[in-house]
Amino acid sequence: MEFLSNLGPIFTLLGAAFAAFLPGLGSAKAVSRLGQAVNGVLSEQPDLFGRALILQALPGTQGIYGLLTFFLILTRSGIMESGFTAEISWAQGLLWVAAALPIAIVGYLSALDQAKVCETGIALVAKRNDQHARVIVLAVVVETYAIFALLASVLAIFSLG
Amino acid sequence: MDKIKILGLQSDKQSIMQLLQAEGVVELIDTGLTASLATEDDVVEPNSKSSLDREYLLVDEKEQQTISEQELLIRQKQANLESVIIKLDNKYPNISIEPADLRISIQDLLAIKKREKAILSKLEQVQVIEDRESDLAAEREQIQREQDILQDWYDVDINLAQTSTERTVIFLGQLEKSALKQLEDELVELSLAQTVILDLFEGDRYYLTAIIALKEDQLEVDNLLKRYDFNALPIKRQGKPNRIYQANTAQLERIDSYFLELEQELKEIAKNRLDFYILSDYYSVLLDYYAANKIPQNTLYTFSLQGFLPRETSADVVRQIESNYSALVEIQELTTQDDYPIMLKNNPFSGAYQTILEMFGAPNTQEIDPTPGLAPFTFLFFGMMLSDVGYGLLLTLACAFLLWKRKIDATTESGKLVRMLFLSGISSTIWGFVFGGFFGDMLTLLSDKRISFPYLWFNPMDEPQKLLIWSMIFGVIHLFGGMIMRMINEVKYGRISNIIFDIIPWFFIIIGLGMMVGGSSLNITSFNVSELGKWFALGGGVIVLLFAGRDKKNIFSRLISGVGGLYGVINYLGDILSYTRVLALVLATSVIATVVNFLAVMVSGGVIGWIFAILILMGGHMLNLALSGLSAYVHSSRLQYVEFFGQFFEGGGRFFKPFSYQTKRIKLKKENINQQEENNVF
Repeated sequence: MEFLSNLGPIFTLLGAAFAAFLPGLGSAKAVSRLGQAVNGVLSEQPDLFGRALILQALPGTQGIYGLLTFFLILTRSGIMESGFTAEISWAQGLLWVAAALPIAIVGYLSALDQAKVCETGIALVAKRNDQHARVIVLAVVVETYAIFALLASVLAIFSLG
Repeated sequence: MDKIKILGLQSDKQSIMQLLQAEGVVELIDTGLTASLATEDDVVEPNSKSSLDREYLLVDEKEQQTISEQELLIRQKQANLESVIIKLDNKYPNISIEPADLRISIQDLLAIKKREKAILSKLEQVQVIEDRESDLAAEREQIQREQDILQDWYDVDINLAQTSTERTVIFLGQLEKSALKQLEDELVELSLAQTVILDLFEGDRYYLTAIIALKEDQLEVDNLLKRYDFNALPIKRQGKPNRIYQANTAQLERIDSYFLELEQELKEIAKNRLDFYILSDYYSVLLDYYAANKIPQNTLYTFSLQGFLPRETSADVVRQIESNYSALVEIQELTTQDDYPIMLKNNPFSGAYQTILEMFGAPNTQEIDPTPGLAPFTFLFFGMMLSDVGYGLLLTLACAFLLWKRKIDATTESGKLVRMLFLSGISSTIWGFVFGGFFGDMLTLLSDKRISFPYLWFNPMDEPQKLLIWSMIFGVIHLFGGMIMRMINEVKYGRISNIIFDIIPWFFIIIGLGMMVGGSSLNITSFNVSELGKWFALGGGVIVLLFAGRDKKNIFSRLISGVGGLYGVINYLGDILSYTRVLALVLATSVIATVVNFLAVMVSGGVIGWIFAILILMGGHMLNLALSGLSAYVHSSRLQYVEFFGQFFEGGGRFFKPFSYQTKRIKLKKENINQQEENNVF
């Protein structure tokens, strides 16, 4: 039953992987969709590249938050140091999974939703260049919830180990 | 703000408008009562107009028309200029322009008019050169294509122009080796046996052939050859292939040297492209002037004009107009009840953060300028969120370089942003020392945990809960700042009761609730903090409950309003919780930095390993600085817009936009043009 006794590290890594791949996936989808929108705008107004690039990059932060959580889980749980032999019970492993859930789920969904705001924002900036800053702020209001989710995950991680 | 009314002679109109533009302190009021309205009247009652008026209207229409035509012409010229400027900028980004900061005097800007023809002819020259270059490129490509084919035919000793004799036609071309036999067979089959296939040259997979057929067979042979993928030689020039090849080579050299000459010429022009910049901006100024010229209301001999201008400049403007022209100028001092555009005045520190307000929108004429309140908190929160000595110093140095070395204009939009980031970088450095961050934990990792960067207060990575509490405490202070701003506004409006019943109780409620939650951890024994907090909160709550609906007569609806008022506690709670983002962003910055350091240490070791490690460190930290810097900027702005402004800001004003010299590419030195010297500057 060596496998069962190793369930802890497996769960932990699974949780960390969730935190990394779901928001990363969401960010990738969001950034890709925005890149297409930006390409359309650039065909008419190449000068907007700098401004449009920032708007495209905004939903990319969720992926970073996910990676950050991934890294915190690995270091805090001890997997980074001792790998598969780390002493984690299966119940503890599940706790790490639970800690990863907020940023994994909210990160994924909020990246996609933020992309919608950015997408219309790019269309707005194409017409009125001076509205750039406001578009950023509107998009960031969505990101607030990814940040809160990150905060929830991070606080859980810190209280676990 | 004052309102200025000018009544002047038509003959002075141009000069006065130009004076106003040069002064750049008056925002013209477009009353919309321009010629278009007048002509409408003219159509409705043509007979009631006096002859004088009608004469005037005709003149005015003509004037407008010529102005429009001129505008159109200038716009075309400007568009041409801009397209050439963009091309030159893209082609020669390395050729610098003198002066490097593009700062010239207004005289130089206006003097460009004398050289307009010369500059425009230079512009034409650029276009001619470009046309010629594209012709040359096309010719070059054509020759090059010939050369590629001729290379195969180089050793073939025949005249390529020889495509027929008296009774035969000659097909020159390439034939696949495998097709030769079949072709010969089919020629026999179709009784075209008089056709001769000469192998001129044997290549790897093909023959170069001359196929000689009788003229009467030409069509059939041609069709047959098409089926065998016979690749006919497209060159029909006099001479043997090697001769043609050599001639072509010489021609290519001539083209290349000519091309170089043209490039050199273009480069010379690019060195002087400042002239193009100036002329393009001159056109912008001129277009502004024409647009403004449509604003004054005209009669036959006079015009009248209204505008807003800052109070401290009004005396000077009046003096300038009255001393130079016979015009009637009246200044009306505006009160806050009037509607006028907003111009903010702040000290250098707060002024640097004005850009955040400008992004949001102008305050109205009656309320307080939020900038002095917003500035210190943006400074604080930006610094906390980035909080790294390394990143802070990098940001500060980069902005200092832009401000003092590159002399970026601090009055432009980007200049203001750089000024704000400069201060924010300083704040980040300070907070970096407070939290002990230098490129994350770079020192600790690189020294193998022997030394670590010291912190002045605590390390958020070790005690995140502590920072969580403190971000909310800073948030409460920020909200209180907003409430104080609201109190100042209420004093301005003279609504003291709002302060007593709507604002002060909330101070007690928030502080009281805070004491109830955190009192036990304060270790104060002389009195019971939680108990005191409870009474604070209760007292405040009762005042809100009783007085939130104080304008209602009915006791029940008044109490219901009071309960609704108490519901505001949810809003405050939401606002305060929103500040926890500070913790998340502090952690995000330092954890990403840690990951970068971790990766670098992982690959380090050996020369190649260290090269990679350094590359990872530089790239990773630059990326983190960009991302975390953007987050810090955006989220500290958001805290202002939603939480801080939510307390007091009404807005709805518009910013002061004086009629002035607006240039896009060059910058103007601040000096006044001597108006007396030349009345018509354009």
